[in-house]
Amino acid sequence: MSTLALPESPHGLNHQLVDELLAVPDHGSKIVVRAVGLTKVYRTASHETHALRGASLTVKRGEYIAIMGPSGSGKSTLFNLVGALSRPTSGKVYIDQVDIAQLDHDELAWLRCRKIGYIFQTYNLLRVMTCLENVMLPMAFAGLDSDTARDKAAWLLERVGLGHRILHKPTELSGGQQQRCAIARALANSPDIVLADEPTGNLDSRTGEEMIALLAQLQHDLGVTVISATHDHKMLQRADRILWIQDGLIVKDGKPADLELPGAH
Amino acid sequence: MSTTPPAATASGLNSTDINQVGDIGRQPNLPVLIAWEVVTQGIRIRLGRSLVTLTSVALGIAFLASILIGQVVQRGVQGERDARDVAIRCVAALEADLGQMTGKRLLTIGAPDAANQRLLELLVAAGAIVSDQAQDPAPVAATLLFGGLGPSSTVSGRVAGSFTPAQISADPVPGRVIINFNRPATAEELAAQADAEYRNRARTAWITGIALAVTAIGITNAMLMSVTERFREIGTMKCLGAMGSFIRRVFVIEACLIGVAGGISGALLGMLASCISYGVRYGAGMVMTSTAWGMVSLLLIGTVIASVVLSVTAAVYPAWVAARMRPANALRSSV
Repeated sequence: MSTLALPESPHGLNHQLVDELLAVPDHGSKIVVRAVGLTKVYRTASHETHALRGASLTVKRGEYIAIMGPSGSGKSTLFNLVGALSRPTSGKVYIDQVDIAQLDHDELAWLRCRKIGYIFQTYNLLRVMTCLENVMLPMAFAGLDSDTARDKAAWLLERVGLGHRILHKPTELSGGQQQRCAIARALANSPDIVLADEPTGNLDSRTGEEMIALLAQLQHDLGVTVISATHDHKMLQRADRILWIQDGLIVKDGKPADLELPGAH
Repeated sequence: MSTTPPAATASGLNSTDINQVGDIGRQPNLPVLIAWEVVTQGIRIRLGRSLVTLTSVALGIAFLASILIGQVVQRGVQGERDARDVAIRCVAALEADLGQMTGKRLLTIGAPDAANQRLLELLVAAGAIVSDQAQDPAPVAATLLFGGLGPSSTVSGRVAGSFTPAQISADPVPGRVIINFNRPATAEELAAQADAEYRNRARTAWITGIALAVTAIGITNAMLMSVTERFREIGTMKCLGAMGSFIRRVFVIEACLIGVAGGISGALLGMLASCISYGVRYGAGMVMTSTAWGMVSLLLIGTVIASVVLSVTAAVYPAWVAARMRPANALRSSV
């Protein structure tokens, strides 16, 4: 039998087990992400691009944070650094008190697997797998046995409103549905942080709004920390805090109501 | 709210938590089965693309196999034709000396090789009675001396494309002829033979080398493309917590499968192609009887092994690069 085999009854879930699996770990610390003096320089043969020039930020557990700013301001670079997807030129990133620069390849894999869930503008689902298998994959990487993983994945997909589509391939789904699947996948290993890079960038306005609401809902229900790089102003109403980034520096940091943001209505 | 990390409460995870470094643990090594699942699903879904890669590998191997097996077939056919040539001239010489072969009794001494065997068949076909029993009461018209009697360097029918009447000598018994296929080779003959062998070996090495290089480049190109066009997928898997070793394993398994499938189909295709082309030129029967099939099957196995080795070698490097990439770079790359 295949390890990623389809469940005979996706709805016969052990809800108590799933609730236990989804409970948010409490390590006592309120600070889940701390970044200090991050700079990032991209070098090409002819010139250097300073994408970040010394960004610092602190994120508390359970916050919904939007990193906003014009395109080219360094949002995605900051996303990659905080998500341990690339290394800063200088500065440090601490995730749950751990300096990620000290970690080797395999420890980084562990961190990405369990501490962080990623959501991308282009969804990045593996198109060779069904929704269910996509959500099960991070759990397989974590070493979870496939029965438990299947239960949890089915529950998560139901949670994001894809309960009726769990056996579909991503190519058979709309953009919004694919992003819902990606959100379920990001939550697979009950991460401390969900990082979203332009999660509404490829979606129409209404679907984007649904996605933002879904993220806010999950953040509220599951207590997960959401950090989203975006230039979607619909995020303003939902986020607890906005970091406004411009020319590689965080120039404003505060509650949406307190900020005078360019372009915000 | 639970106070323990949820993962630890699930079964099967406790072993990974033992190796924790500070707050950070080690990813478990996944069973090969999961990599296998990813590979087979990948091949099934990307069937069209997989077939293109497979075909490139199969064509490369078909080329290699047809060149190598073609050489064996060619050598077999050439040897057979040489042997028949010698045999025909030999029969002509005997007939010149003894008249029609019909009813003539011929004595053989020593072990005839494959080429000598052709001569004997021709003689029998011409009506001669061939026997290796010296005490046969009927009179013997001629004696044929074959190999295995004297010194090791001898001129056999196969090597000596130059059968000369000088090899025929008179028996002390009047009226009897001895054809000596077992005489020691002369220095010139040995030198010519060594020279021909050297040139043949150099030519074989050159053609084999070129065929191998062409095949290697073709397969490397196909595998390189199939890995690099999936950098984004690799980046995504790394974001989900895949270790480099898992990614390497996925691509090595895939390359093995493609290498085996492409190798087997390519080797058979190549063999068929060279057999058909020689069969059309020299006749199917000639090819069937004169080819060293043992050597051909060895080459078939060899080319399949070469296919697997080349495919895996070609896939390992890009997979290694991809596995070591920062996920951000892998995600950004577009091919």
